[in-house]
Amino acid sequence: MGSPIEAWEGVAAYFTGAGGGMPLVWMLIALVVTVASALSAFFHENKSYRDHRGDPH
Amino acid sequence: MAGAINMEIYYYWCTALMVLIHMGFLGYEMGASRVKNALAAGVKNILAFAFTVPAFFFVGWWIYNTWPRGLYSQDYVDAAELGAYAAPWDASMGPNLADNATGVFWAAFTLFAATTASIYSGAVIERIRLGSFVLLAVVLGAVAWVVGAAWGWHPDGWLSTDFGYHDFACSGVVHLISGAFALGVLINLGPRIGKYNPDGSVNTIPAHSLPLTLIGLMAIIVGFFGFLGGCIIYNTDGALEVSQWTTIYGTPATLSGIAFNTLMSFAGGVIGAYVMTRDPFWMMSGGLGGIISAGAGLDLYWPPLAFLIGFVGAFAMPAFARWLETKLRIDDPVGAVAVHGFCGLWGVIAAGIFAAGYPAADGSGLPGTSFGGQLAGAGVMLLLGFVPGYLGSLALKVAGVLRVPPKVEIMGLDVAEIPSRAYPESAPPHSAPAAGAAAGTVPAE
Repeated sequence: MGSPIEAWEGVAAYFTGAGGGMPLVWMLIALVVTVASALSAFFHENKSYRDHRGDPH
Repeated sequence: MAGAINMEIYYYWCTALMVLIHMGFLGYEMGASRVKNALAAGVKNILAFAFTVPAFFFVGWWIYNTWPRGLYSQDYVDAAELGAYAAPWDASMGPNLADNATGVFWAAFTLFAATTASIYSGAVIERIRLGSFVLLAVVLGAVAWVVGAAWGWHPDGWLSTDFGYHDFACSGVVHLISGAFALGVLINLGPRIGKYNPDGSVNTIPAHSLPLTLIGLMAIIVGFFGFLGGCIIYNTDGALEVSQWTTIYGTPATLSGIAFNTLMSFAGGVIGAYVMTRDPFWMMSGGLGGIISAGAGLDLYWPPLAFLIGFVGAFAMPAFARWLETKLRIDDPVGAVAVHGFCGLWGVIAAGIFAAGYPAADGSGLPGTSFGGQLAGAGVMLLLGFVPGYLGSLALKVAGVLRVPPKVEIMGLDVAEIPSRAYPESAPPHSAPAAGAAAGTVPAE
């Protein structure tokens, strides 16, 4: 987490955690959040359909 | 010279793109109003833009360029001379063949200023008096946020030089200040008639056109690309080549980095708000909230981290809005305090958590980014917004000119103030259901 650099001279990749292990961790968490959010849409829809079963509108 | 012209072109079109923010706010606020107030909300929004422009010309630009060390400092004993080139009567403040920069920079800053006024504008729809609204918009757009920008979004601003405050895309300087200003005004303005029942329960006052509001929000997102583009400094070496993009603090940056993190934080915000609410209004607000949440460190974050920061901000944002509405009884029809104030605060602090340790510009020897510096900056921005908003609206309230009369509020501002009708071929505005009628409640007066 935080800055991977101490000075700007000669820097290429300077994003948070560049060159360390944290970017992989953030990416995995973001991936899990993305997939879980997509799956939550299914659960939300299924619940909505159950709640409105028999509703003529 | 070619480099200077390229720079002019860049900022000129950033400014044009930023006008989309105001198109978006226009649709957003008109859609969020009831039919009886739709055009009055539009008039208010248009005037916020229009009055901010000359006000920023007269005083805002001078404040930004004169007060980076504070309202008064021994370093700036000769403050008037320091900012002389930004005084409205200076030769640089008009067509001048020897100055390609001032006009486009001024224009970009002016659009930032107008954005602050539009942020506050949405929170006060349907009951504020137009004259009072304009006065407060000028205070915010030409003074309050400009002081924050001079202190925290300026190469010599004391918050950045003394505390290492880093706020690339103005999470604090624009959004937190505007959200806090709106909160200060809302406390004195009070809720719309019919929002709360005598037993304390809350009525939902629905937007008359949610599709218009959603399209408006998407236009704001498009305009944000101009806003964020205007946050990066186009340096030229006097020839054809750009030497290096930098932030306002002089640290290196790239447009590519901004592109990564703008889109990732937008997506995180939309998804976070979707998971929390399933409501399209909050989803689109979440896109905005996501970018604001990642804004302070938008030039620094690893893109998946920007996604997560946007997700967290937008996920929590509707709950904060609900808390304001139910516990503090703050009636904020568009969620401006939550979207801009809450996410702006989170954005500034998140940069202190996740982007701590970045050094200042090369060879400056100034402090780098830190949690303490971000916390200090957040506190300053909160006060710079809240205090003038609260005191300014309190003075107008005491003078009896802050709020429209109850009869006019119930009848609708369009009927009372606007010579035209939003939907002349449908039901007249005054026949629209009274507030709370849809929920079967009696408006509280």
